[in-house]
Amino acid sequence: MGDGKHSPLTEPMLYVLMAFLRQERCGTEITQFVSDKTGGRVRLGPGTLYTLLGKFQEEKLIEETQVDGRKRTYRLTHLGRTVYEEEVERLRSCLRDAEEELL
Amino acid sequence: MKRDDALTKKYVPCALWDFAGLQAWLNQQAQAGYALERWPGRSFIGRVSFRRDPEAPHTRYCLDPIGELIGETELRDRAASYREFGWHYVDRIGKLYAIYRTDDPAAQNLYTDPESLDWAMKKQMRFAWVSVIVWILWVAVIFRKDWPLLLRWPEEYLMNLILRAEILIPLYGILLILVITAVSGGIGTLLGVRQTKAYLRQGQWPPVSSRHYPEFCRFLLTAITAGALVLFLVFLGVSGVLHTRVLSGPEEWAFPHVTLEEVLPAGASLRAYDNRELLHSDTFDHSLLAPEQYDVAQGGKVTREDGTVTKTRLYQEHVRTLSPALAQAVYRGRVTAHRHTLEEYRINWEENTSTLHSNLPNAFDSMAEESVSYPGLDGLTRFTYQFSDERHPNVVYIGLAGERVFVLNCSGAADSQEALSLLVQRLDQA
Repeated sequence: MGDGKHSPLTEPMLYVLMAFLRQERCGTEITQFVSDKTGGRVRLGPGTLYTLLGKFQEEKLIEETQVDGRKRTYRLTHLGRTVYEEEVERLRSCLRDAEEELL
Repeated sequence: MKRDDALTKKYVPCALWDFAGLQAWLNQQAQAGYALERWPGRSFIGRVSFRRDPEAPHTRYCLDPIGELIGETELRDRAASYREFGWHYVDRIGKLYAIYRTDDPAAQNLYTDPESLDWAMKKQMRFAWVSVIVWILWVAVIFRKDWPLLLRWPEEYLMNLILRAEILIPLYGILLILVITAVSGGIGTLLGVRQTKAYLRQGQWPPVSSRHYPEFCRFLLTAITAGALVLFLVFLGVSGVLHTRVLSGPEEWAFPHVTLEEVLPAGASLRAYDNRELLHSDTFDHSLLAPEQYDVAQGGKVTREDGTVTKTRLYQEHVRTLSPALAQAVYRGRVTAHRHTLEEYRINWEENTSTLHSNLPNAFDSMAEESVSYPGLDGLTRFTYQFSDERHPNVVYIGLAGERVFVLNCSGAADSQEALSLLVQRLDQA
């Protein structure tokens, strides 16, 4: 279970965690994933990306798997997946509330 | 088109912590055709070097917070990672920011959301705190000898300022300006980074603050003050202000005083010390606020009528100030200084009693300080104490009469009451 201290995640944080759900990725691949996934709506500058990767590593949400020269690859940890799932559940709940009010 | 090889120096209009201001300024310079050449490190005086470059208007600059706690390896790794995204390392702004440049109009800014920039500035915040603590410790260390006096014995501190006015007031003034400039720089950075982080935490980009060239102003103030300090020290060396005049004897005592011969018991004879090392030299000093400062001593072996021999000393200090208020401050300072000296002597005595003086009683049991009312004086304090190896008490009178302050320190066979009476008469006539 997540400890709740990461919730709510910002949009860039959510998408960076999302990028690791299916596979390990390096920095450029994450940026590409987020851009493709959101159709360019969510922008991820390199400062933002590497600060988030540093923060996630510090909080053990992701871990480094491979260092090939300058290229570093990361994957999601069990805690990272839990935090992601809790955030999705929170967003789902928000969306439910919002839709109910529209009816 | 070719780049112009000549460097142009430009003054930085905002503080170094000002993320938004610096970034906006660098980009304005780029729009005006100036590419950043280098950011001076230790030699930074508030201006940086640009080179005229026709390609500059197509360039964008972004800052990346580093903080001193980040290592060089991490900085190089970051630079390599950013290069893949089209950003190239240019230089660093002190210990605060790394400067990156891109010529690719499609490249995203380094930071695309305020929260991530807020996290990136976490190390800067720590560094700013460390920096402020270091400055404060530095101040505490350089003034380490003054703090106890200033906090515990402030009257003595004030007296020293009056008695050494032309040395201490400018010196402390200059040092204070240097210290305030240095510490305010550290505190300013801390508050600035804190304010920037507060904006970012709320999801807002920090605004560009108004331009008032704080870095150059700080450099100018420091340079002028340091220059003034050097000139002042040279002045002290060549002007002779630091030299105390040594008096040859009582013939040069041009102040109301008594002599040892006048205050001895009737029929007693004095064999004065030939060796001045047994007494301190008679001296004359002056300052702007206290133009007359005498410190004189007499002493010798006194043989009474019954044949007993007593070592006797008479110390006198005399200060004339420019006003009664200054004299009042000197009087209070003298009383405090005497109390302070005795207190230190007592502590030293007590610390060593068990090992060095185990067979002696506490010499300070008989110590007393009292305020005494005396006709013709505006204030009088009497200290009496007797060490265990002495047969007569030491009596010290510290007095105030208008603009004059005196210290009358009698030991041995000197009659302190008589000495005080004579001195007050002479003060009245002066």
